[in-house]
Amino acid sequence: MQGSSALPTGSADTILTCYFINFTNCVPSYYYKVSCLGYRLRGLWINRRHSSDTTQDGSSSSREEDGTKQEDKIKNEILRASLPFVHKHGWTKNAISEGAQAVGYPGTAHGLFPQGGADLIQYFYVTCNQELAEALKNETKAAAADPSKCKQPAVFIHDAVQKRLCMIIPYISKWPQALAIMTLPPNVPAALANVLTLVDDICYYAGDRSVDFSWYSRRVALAGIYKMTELYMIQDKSANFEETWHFLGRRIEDASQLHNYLHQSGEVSQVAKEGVTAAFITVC
Amino acid sequence: MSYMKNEEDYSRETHFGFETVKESEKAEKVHSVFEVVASKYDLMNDAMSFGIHRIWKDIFIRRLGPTADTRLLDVAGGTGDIAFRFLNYLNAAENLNACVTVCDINEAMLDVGRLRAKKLGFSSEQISWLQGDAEKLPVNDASFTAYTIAFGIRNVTHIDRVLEEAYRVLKPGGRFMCLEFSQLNNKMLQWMYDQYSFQVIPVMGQLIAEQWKPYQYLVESIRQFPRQEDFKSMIQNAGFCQVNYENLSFGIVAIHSGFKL
Amino acid sequence: MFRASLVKVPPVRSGVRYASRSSPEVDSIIRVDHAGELGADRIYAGQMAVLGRTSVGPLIQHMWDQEKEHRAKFEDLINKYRVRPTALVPIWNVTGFVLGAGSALLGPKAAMACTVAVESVIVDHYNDQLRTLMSDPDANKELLQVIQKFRDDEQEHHDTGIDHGAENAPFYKVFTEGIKLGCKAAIAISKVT
Repeated sequence: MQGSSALPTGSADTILTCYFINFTNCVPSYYYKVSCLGYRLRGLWINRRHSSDTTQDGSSSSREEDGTKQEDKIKNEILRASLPFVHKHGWTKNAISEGAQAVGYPGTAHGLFPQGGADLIQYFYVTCNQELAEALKNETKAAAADPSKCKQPAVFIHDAVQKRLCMIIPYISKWPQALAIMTLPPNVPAALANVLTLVDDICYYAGDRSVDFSWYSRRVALAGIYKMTELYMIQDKSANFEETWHFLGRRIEDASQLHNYLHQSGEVSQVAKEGVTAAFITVC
Repeated sequence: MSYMKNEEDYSRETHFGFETVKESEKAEKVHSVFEVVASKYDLMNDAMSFGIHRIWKDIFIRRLGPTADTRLLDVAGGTGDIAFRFLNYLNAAENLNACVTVCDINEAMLDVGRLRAKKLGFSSEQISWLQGDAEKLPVNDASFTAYTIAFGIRNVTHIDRVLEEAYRVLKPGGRFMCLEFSQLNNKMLQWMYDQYSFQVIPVMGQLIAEQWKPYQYLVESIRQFPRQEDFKSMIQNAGFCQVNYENLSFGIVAIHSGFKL
Repeated sequence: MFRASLVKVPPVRSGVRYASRSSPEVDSIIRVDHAGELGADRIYAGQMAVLGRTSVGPLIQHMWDQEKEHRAKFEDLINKYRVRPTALVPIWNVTGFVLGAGSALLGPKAAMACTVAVESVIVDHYNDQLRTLMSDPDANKELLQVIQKFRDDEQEHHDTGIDHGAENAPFYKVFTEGIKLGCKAAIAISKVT
């Protein structure tokens, strides 16, 4: 292992770093926990997919689909119009009522969203994720056309996470409320699915094409980094959130060092594997 | 008083509790039931449900979540329970543009409502009283933002016509909400509910309101009302979107909700 | 008590859809198939480790090469369709190798019997998937083509196994039924995890 970097000073930083290093050092125990997580992971990934299923019959189901699309369009319109009212009312159904009135629907249209504020937060999260995915896709295309624009993965990830967190800045005063609502038990699957979709997009566009367990370990690690930075950001009082971006940089550096360590020790496991298979090779 | 004087009504039959009657006669029979129970209506509600109907209605209004700009039409709302709760909910709201129109086919029920409103101190600007048939409302198209019907829809002759009228009078984005007795899923609880309904309620009616038959009709009509899913389909067929229902008290009552989008 | 058995209200979605993601069925199909090909690759590796120097060595090598191609193709599809891969890769690696090596240690005929068992489960599995995908042939064109070709290859492996005396392996029936059961369990797990 490369000499461990001096732990950053500052109590919050130290605690969070220790947490992070402990968290990722527990990688082997994930082998055991994976089977337990399996069911929940399925729920998370299926939760995030809102794509319509393929239909088999003709006109009646396509009519229903058109109807549902129209309803969804109206609901999105209302939610989009509700975001400016979050400053006044927070992430609540009052904000949705005001939004509905702003686009010409009665205030009781908040009933379209029985989860209330959670629906609004979900909408905001999903649209931010989509915006980020689009921006990353364009960036990757531009880098393919013009190699001078190509970024190192660590830099790419830093910029992507920073871009995503900047989308929260207009609502930063009410963001703690949003985080609290999304940690309520009924909302946890949706919240986790959102985070995992986000980190999947960032990893994919950063160039990760792994198809084995490192697919999971990279995304979970990045999710940890993202969440820690988000929590740091909501209590950061510095100008332009400079401290937050430094914090993010340090976390990514920690992750890179850890990755190098595991990669090096990967050679050890290769030798071990060869040793085991040697027992089976017949020599004649 | 306007009934649907349709040629078909004279020949088709429908249910009145467990009886089968001509469609043209049902409205009159229902009318006479409520004429007779009007004065003791609220007292009997309290006695039969042990006061729980108040909680159901509170939850109902909370689900609606009215805002300061809501214009509510409360149909079959005779004695004003829903209307008063609606106004109390908005009591603290600023810029109170809200108003409620209570519509009932039965003048006797509306009279009781007016008296109660006066006693509770509600002004006539906030609450107006309209006599009319739910199947043919004396109201313009798209003039309300919310339509409620609490414990009334099982008494009408043609539920589908009432739903169509509800769709007509609502503005785009308006909400339809219905609070009604419904079916339980649990056989054991259903049996207990049946015993209570058929053995106890008519007796209570006789003792408190000195009427047996109306309360017999009440419990029979509950059994005749469609199940939650079937009623949900009927609401969807009338053109409402995002139709859902919520069971209260194990399914003894259900709140159905739909939007005109 | 009043609120008991409430929330017959299904969760109302905000209606925003992730257009770039594949449907849950395609996601599951590609994940399971990748896990399957990975397992098959490791099984042949195990068999080669034991029987590589014997007369059936070249035959097993030929089948192994085809499985490697299959696995590579599914890895491409995982990246193309942005599918979540199976989380149990280390387990399939070990289990596949142990199964292949273990059956090979019982003799070349037992190795062939193992091949026959695994390939017959996989052929049935691919046929089920083809039926599912046929519900929308235009949208699933590429996947249909790939799975059809691979299903034919696996059928060929199955027939090769039979031709080389799989049925003469000791305790053939019990052995193959046991392996088939294990394969079906692995498929069920991979659909989810």
